[in-house]
Amino acid sequence: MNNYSLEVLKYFDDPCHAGVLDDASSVYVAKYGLLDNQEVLELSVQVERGVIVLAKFRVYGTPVLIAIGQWLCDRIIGTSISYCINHQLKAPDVLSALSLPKTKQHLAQAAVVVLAEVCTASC
Amino acid sequence: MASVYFDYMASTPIAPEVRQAMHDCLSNKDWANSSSSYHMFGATAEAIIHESSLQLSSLIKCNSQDIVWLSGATEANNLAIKGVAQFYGKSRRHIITMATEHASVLDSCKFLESLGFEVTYLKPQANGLLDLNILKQAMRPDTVLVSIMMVNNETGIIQDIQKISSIVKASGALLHVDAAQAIGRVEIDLASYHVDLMTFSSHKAYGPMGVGALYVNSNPRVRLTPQIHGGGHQLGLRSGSLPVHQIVGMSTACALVNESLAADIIRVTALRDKLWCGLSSLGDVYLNGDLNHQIPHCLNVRFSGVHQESLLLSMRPFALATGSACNSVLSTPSHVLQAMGLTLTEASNSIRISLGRETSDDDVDNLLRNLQQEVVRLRRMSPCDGVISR
Repeated sequence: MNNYSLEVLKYFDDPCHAGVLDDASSVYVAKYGLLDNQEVLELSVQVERGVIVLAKFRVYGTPVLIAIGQWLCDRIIGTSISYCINHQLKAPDVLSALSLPKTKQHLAQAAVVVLAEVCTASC
Repeated sequence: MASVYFDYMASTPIAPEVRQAMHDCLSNKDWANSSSSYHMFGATAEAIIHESSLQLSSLIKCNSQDIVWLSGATEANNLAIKGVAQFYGKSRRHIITMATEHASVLDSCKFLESLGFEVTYLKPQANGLLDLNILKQAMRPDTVLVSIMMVNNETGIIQDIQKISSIVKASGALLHVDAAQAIGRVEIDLASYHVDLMTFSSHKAYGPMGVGALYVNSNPRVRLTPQIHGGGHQLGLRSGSLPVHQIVGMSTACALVNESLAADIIRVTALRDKLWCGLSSLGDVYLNGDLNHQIPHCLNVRFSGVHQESLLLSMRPFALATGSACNSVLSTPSHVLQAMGLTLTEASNSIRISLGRETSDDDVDNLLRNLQQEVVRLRRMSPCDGVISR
């Protein structure tokens, strides 16, 4: 078995935010990655009064990307869009939170991009 | 964590009879250097090695003097390919192999390319089998060696060595067959077809790791340039003191698997069929191989929309594999599956399940139930509906 960090295993084993949100005017969806690269991350958020009240993710890819999706949803639920914009998530934050090596920078970047896209769309 | 083993193509557990034979060898006065045959200890070791060579050669139907003991199949493949190329390479510098071979064959060929040899890598058909017409067309007057695997380590596909042998022999080239995965899984009969060199592994047949063998035909004699120097053991082909207990372990293991070959194939085929039937009922599940041309011990299966690494991690109570254990330092999708025409994504959606003598009906039921559950769960999590923004 590959040497996954404890944090990756924790989030991979309990992906309670996996799924999609019902299509509604307050739901925003962003998707990043290429199937050919075996890395696709989709983030759906429901925003009410400027606050992310629900977040779901879907992933096609490795356990690390699944863990990132779950961690990202955990982190942003209850957070305001303005906070997300003013305190922009950066790839090193993701790497640090999940104890990932720099070789996973591109996966961390997926989280940064999808979050930025849903925030922009909801404004 | 309790784990159920489904990775018999990577390695097999040492059989109790093999363990006992090795223990006896190490406990008795059989541990001496077989080259020191001028005293009783060495002579005993030499006699045991001779007996082991007789035992292995009788199983594969060859002369016992044609067996060279080595550290494993990787060394055997290196000696066969580089040894032939370097000995005969002044006049004939073309080698043919398949793109689906083991890394020890492909890397040996790549090394020879760096020395100026020309290598043709034949792609298989979609089911993994070699198209014999393609082989015929690839043969050239300067072809010195054809190296083809008998049983593929990732798919279990069995190549038709008898027909391949006829084509190679007609051209005057030498034929090397990597049979590392074959012993104990298919019948090997060197008396019924012409093969010049054949590789064997111990730990794929319930023997210990660290020992293997190379059959080197002596009639007509195949000449090899040795790859390891220092003492000229084994007719100069492979220097180094022989590990008596390892060799006893390998020959005992090979005899055991040979005895139970027919019954094992029937039992494992029933388990494999049950497994494949259950998996295919999930839908969008594909076999990378051909049930009519593969050993029953191996199923290479593709689950659309499910990445192999995520499936394996979610199935970690079961010992499964993404492909060759020998390529595990590289996390790239299988070169074997890509050579068979699968896309990178299809290869990344594939896992190898391999069965063996300790696999029970309950194990298969348990695996099936868990695989069905996890594949459905991971597919629900997948956004692979064809719309990708970047």
